Amino acid sequence: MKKITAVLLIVLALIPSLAFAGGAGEDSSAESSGKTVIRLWTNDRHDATFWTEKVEEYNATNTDNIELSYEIYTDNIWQAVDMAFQTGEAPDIVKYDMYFDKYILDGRFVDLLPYMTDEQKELTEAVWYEGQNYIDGKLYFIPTGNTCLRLFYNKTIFDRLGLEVPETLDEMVNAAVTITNELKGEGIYGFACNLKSASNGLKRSLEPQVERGTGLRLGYDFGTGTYDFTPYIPYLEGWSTMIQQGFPGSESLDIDPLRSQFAAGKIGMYMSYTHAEPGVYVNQFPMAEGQEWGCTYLPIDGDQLYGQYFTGTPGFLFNKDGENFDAAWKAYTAIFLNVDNLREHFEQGFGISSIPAVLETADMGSDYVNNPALLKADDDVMYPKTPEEEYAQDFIVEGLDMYNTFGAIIAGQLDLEDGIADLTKRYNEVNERLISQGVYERIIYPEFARN
Amino acid sequence: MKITKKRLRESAVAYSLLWPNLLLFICFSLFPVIWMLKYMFFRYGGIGTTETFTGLENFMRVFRDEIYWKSVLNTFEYALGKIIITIPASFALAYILNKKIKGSGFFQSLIFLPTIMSSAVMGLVFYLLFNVYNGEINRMLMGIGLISSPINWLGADHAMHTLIIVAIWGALGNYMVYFLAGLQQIPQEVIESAEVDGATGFRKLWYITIPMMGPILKIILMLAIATAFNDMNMILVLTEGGPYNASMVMTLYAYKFFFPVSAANTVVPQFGYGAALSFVSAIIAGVITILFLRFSRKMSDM
Repeated sequence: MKKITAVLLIVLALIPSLAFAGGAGEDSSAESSGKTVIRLWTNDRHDATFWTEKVEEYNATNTDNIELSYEIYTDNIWQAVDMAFQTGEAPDIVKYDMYFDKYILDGRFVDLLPYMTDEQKELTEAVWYEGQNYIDGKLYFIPTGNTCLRLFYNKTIFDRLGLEVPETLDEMVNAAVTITNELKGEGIYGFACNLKSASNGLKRSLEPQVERGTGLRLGYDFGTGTYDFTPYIPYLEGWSTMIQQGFPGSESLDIDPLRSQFAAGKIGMYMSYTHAEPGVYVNQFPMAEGQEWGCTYLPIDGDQLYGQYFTGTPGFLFNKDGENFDAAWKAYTAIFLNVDNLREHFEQGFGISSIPAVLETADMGSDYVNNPALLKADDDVMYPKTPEEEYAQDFIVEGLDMYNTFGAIIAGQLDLEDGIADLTKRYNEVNERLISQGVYERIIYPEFARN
Repeated sequence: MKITKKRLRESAVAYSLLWPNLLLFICFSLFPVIWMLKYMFFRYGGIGTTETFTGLENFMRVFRDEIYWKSVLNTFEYALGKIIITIPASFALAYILNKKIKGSGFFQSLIFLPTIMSSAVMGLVFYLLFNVYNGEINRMLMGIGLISSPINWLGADHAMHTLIIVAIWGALGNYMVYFLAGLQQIPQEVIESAEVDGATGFRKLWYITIPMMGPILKIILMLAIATAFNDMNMILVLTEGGPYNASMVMTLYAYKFFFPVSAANTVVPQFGYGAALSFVSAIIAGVITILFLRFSRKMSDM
């Protein structure tokens, strides 16, 4: 009896480890059905319905016995991919993010050029960005769309108060203050920003605005190879006014609650990405009755116009250690490099295409006709990488980083002049130290210099 | 000889029961700690990057890091605020609900409910309740005329208070259950003999119940301190430590170096520095717990 009890206990004790062993068997079931399963990881939610449908269609109709598993992650995708590479479970395809540059440099992703047909090369040549996805003659991902930062405003509110769409920083600040003063009683405010995380909020608003007006990129001057945050000052002053007299609670807002309030007609202006917003106000937060949005370029201080960064998205990276690259490439080209799909995606407002063949033949939706600013303009540029981006592992600035410093200044928690002087000093100290240590040579691009 | 065999069998059973837990403990508790003890001397940006030995540099940076020390102060404010209100309140609740009155079981379950709720969900729900632009709490307070304009509950001035309120709400039921268990262990005879001696109501509570609860109170307080110093999930969801680090606590600050919360392109993980911060934070929490244990021993000696 005792023996039986002991054996039983040991079996019971083994259960957890058996459960672990069970986990690894997941994939084999799919293979036993005879299909080659390709896993794709993305964090795009705004067009999930569109692509899921296309993927299902492909899975049902393709004759190569391929099944693409379109797996959507949230903001944990970076850690998930890190983990997956560590354990050898990385997916066949993963949506590009700057965070994965380290793996590109490490040679973990496939150079796509040898596998591309001449037609595919011709189709995508316009989006081979030197130093971004096209590195040393190798192409790692194909960003079929793009996203730029713009000012989104509530047309209904502007018309009601007879306000002009702002082109300069002063006009924007004045419009924001006017809206708040006139309509505060109705719970309508001039300006808002998703500042719950200062870096998340300001990288998609203040930073590109300052770039457009000053030619600095993340505080870096490519002409001198040094950091200088002083030109941010007029913008920070304007932002201070707009936020402190703006929509209450910006400092604890995420982007989606902000959008829901904008859709309800409670916010006059905010800044965001062009690829997402048109779809958001159709699918996620439909505009309230009688409310209409508009889109314009980021207002700047002065009249000297520089480039502002834009991002090529979405692009997909292919795992070099994936066992089924050929099947992955087949599925990818059939779905995501398919001109008809891309055109439909663009026409339905799920993203803005960068592929000339798509743009030329697409039937522009009314959003784009009414708001040409949604499309990429000539002054939306790809900046070279600043030292902080290029040498992210070495470039460690202690204390508040630039975005959190700006956040504190805007909220009136930190003195403007002192905060900016200190920030400039700290960034330059790191830059100079790394140069003198020989980590890199001073990074200068004369064509991106400020005049 | 027979005895050793029997012993052997007994210990075989004991070990077979022990090993799954031991394995999990080694994998998920011991290994990460050893990992951390190594990397706190390195500069390391996570998987896919190189690691460089930097000696004590990470620790020197901890002592220069003003934001960290501010977050340590915040942690004390948070823990104190949470414990000072939670412990007496949950004891009072347990004391009342321990009496055999109608519906006490129902109220016990109701108050315990937040404990089994995910703290991340709690964070989201409380954002909807507390936000300044259409939060239900402001609407209610204004409705009954307590305030004239909305309070910015999640703004820099009040974020910490709001977090403490939510934390108390989440912890009350949990500690109430501990106290209930303690109260039910007090021998009925002692209370009865006190009653025979004429003790009633408050005197019975003060001179019999509370002293009898001494040992369990000590354990509950220690648990409360250790938990409060490690709370992070709800803060992460509700405020992310902001605005402007006003509600940043030390564990969340360290966590952000491992898992940069925002996807800003300038934020890269700094595992080495995060490990050093975690180590220093663990020491701080450990010192507080030891101080408390000493203090409570002295108290019981008195």
